[in-house]
Amino acid sequence: MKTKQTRIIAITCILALLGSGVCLAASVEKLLGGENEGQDSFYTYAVVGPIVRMIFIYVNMGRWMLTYGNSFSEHFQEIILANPSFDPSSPSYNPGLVSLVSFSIHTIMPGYLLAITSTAFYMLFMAASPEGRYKAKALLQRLIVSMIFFSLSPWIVQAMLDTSLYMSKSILAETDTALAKEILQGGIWGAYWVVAKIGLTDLQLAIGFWTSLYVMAWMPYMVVCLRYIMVVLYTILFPIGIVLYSFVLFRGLGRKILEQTMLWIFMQVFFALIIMTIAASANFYSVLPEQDNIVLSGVNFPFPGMDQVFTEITAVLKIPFASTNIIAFTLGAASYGMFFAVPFMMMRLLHKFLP
Amino acid sequence: MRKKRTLIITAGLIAIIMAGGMLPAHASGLAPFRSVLYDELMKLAAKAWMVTSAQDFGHFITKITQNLRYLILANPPVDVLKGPQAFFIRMVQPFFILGIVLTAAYILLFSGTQKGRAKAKGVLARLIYAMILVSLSPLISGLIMGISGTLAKAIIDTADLALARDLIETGTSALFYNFAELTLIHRTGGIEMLLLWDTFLLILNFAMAIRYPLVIFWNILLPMTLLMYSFTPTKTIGKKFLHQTFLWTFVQVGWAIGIVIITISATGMKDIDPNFPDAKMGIACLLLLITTPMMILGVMDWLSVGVELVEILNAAPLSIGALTFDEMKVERGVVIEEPAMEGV
Amino acid sequence: MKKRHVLMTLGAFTVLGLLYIAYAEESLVIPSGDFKSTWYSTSLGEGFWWAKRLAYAIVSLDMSKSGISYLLQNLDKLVLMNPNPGGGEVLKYIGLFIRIVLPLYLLGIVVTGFYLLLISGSPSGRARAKFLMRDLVVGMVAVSMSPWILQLFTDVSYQAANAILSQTDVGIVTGSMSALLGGESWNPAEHLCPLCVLHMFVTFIEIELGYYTFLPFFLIVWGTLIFFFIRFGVVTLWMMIFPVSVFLYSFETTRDVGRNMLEQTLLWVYMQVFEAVILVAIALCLIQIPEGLMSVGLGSPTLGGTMEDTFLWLLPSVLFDFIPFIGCIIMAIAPLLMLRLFKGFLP
Repeated sequence: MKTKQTRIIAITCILALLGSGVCLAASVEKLLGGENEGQDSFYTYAVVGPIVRMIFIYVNMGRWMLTYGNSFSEHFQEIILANPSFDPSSPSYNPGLVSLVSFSIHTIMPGYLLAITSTAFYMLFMAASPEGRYKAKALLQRLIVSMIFFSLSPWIVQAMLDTSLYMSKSILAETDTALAKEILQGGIWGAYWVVAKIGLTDLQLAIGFWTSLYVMAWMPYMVVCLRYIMVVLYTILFPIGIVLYSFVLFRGLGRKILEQTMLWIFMQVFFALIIMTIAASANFYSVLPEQDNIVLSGVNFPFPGMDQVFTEITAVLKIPFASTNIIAFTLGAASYGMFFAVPFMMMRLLHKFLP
Repeated sequence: MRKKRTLIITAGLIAIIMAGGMLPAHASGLAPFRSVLYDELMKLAAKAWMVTSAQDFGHFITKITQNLRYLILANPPVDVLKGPQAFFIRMVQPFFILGIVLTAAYILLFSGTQKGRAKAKGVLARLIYAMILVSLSPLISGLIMGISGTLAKAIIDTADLALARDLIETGTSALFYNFAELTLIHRTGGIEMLLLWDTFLLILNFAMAIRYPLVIFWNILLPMTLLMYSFTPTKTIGKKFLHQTFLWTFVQVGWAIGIVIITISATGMKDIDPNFPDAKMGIACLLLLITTPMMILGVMDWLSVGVELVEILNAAPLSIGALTFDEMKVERGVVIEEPAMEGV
Repeated sequence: MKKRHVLMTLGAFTVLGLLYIAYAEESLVIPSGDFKSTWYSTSLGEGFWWAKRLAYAIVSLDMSKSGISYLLQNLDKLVLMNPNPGGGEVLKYIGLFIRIVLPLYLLGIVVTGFYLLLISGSPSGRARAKFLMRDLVVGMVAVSMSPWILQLFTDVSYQAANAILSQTDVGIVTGSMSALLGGESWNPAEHLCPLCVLHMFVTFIEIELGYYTFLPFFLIVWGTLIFFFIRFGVVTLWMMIFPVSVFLYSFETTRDVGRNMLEQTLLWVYMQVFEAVILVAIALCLIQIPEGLMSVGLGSPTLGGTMEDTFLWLLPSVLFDFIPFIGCIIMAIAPLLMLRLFKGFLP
């Protein structure tokens, strides 16, 4: 796809140059000889301006699109399946994380031992009322159970990460990732051709769509990386969460930490589901009747009406040349929008689900 | 009126510039004059180029208003959902089987109090019922989407779609025309109008386009939702997920009602006051169409009715155990003491 | 299609003119060294610059204020307008929903009656069924009389708003809005109001600032008109769905939903009264507050006796009267305020 798109951009650039050149050939010839101040404004405005914009849009922006714009749609598989790991043999082994977690465990563990020892001491030697003994026994039970979970917390987190990874991998194995890639690319290239068309006349007109280009290129990355950072954060906080959850006074805070840990770890599964959904929504192409799925070409000739001629020629010859259609554009944009909407919805819905 | 005016302005400007161009060449003193006029002509040509490009884009997005019916009634086919749902059903069924086996073991082997046994029987019935529902997930998805689609189709067929289209196009084309006028005067003069104009229609199209993948997403999650709904600890989450499933499918009906409202309000307004400006009415109609689903589905929250109904169905005669326990009455008859037999 | 033709002709015209000039003999050949800015070319260039900015200022004002004469003439009528539930399309849809809902009521009444008469349940169950029967009968009567009930709501609202508006002269508000915003035509005399002068001033400084100063006009005029129509549309919506709201309110399980819907119906209908109160409040403010209290700008009475005053006297006074301006904005935001404040008032 990369070479095809490069070719498309290169040919578009050449054709656009030729097209505009025909219009101004005579006057350019005559004016190249002029050394008059008054002609400056016209020359820069109406001749140099479009040429510079063309070079900027097709060469600079085109190269940006081929590298940054296509990046997520080509590499989403590796990115979504990325998890931090405690296992030294895996490629995403994070020694700093391991040392932090082991530090927090080693720091808090003596506290547990102290608590258990003092409760046992109380029960054995300072036997008070039956009620007091009963409460102390319950506390002791809770402390021991909590201590077991606390010492196993890195393995628990690793187990959750592995479960999530396994589920995401199997979901992605069932989907047609090539189709998802095509739909995502349709969205961002659609926005690009709109920018190319409108921005050739004046860059300020294309501000809205240009912003959407950057949003589409970077937002999925931001969301997925946010999840990674949150996973690292909550991996560190998970042992503390267990400690807090076992004491009634701090139960709310502990529950929150545990919930967030599980939510962010299993967000991976939702990302894989989004890709599966995007691949499954290819049927949206058949919603509009054929003649209404109008094609917008990314080239912009100064002659009014020449764009239509160009589009019709390429449609007849069945060359998808530097063009986009309404369904590809909006479905692609909506697919990128899913990466923002779904995590947001999940954060709102999966609220307070632990007892 | 305004079209004529713009035409007159630009025709006048062009006439002046061409007249300047047609001045005899030997009047060299007038050359700087001509250069300024030529400069202005080139700028005008560039501005006209801007307006025609924006207009091409306008043709592109006007197809949205012309195809509102197809976009509103678009529902994913159930075939697309079958594969992914089968994946989740395969994942979810072991949990059900485990739950059923454990409950059965409890009833048979660890039967405690009568109340506990009755409750366990209710749980067993609910689990079996839910497992059947989960295996039928594709049919359920088809049912939900079918109801929503039929309802939306019935509502849209009663409305005058051509009138709705006219209203929206009147409003948005007024904004485009303002953009064209301002841009022909100064090249960056109409940017805000351009942004307003293309944002409105694209928001509507974006909403319709994002609904389609979201319907697929929630329907793929339907087996998981039903699983979470049938186990008590996860019941609240199951309820919320089910609510969202219904919500996103029924947004269609919201849009269909929006189209009806637009047409009725416009005809009602014409009866009351025929002089209301058309452009403002058009833009207000577009805003109404965008916000009606939010009003109907968010404020009314009547999709929770659907969830309540599912709950009522769940508690129906299938869970005979619990009901029997509640309604159990101990029959106490009158005790008639038999006379003691005397020394036979 | 017509517009496209116009613009295509325009474009073709310019291109042809360009080609003509390009090929016309010697008309492009500027004698070198001969051309330096002469007084008439600079003045022509300057003239174009000034003419374009003036045209931009006037066209943008005209476009953003289009509809203002209609708005100001009919402000009280716009506040008082209501859809008619007793006639036309609205009645047709209300009838449709009544036809859907009435059989369900009948079914409910029959089943409840069956339970009460023939199935002996517990006393509490029977009491609950009796209350349900009462709710169902009342609901059925309300649903069958929906058009009249809705007419009653709208009439009450209309009369209340009318009575409030007749307490004072709406002309005060419209007069001061007209003084603030100016008129709609191409006659420059109508654009001598403070905001318009500010806009023109600013456009000549930098045209990009001009984009922001024409926004107040756009938002006030277009926004108010659009808002009135949105209220009209939303009231139509809730009127149509009224039978369903009453139906949902009659049953215990769906009472919350029905309550929400009925609340929204009443709130949107009575928004009229709220807007009438706001209009009257603005009018009273304008009557009672001394001239120029909240006006800001050049030529305001606080500046005086300094050297700047002599210069400022040359410029038109850009007195910016805040009260009508804020009043217009409040008219557009009022409904949201009302929706927030009166939440949850039904039992």
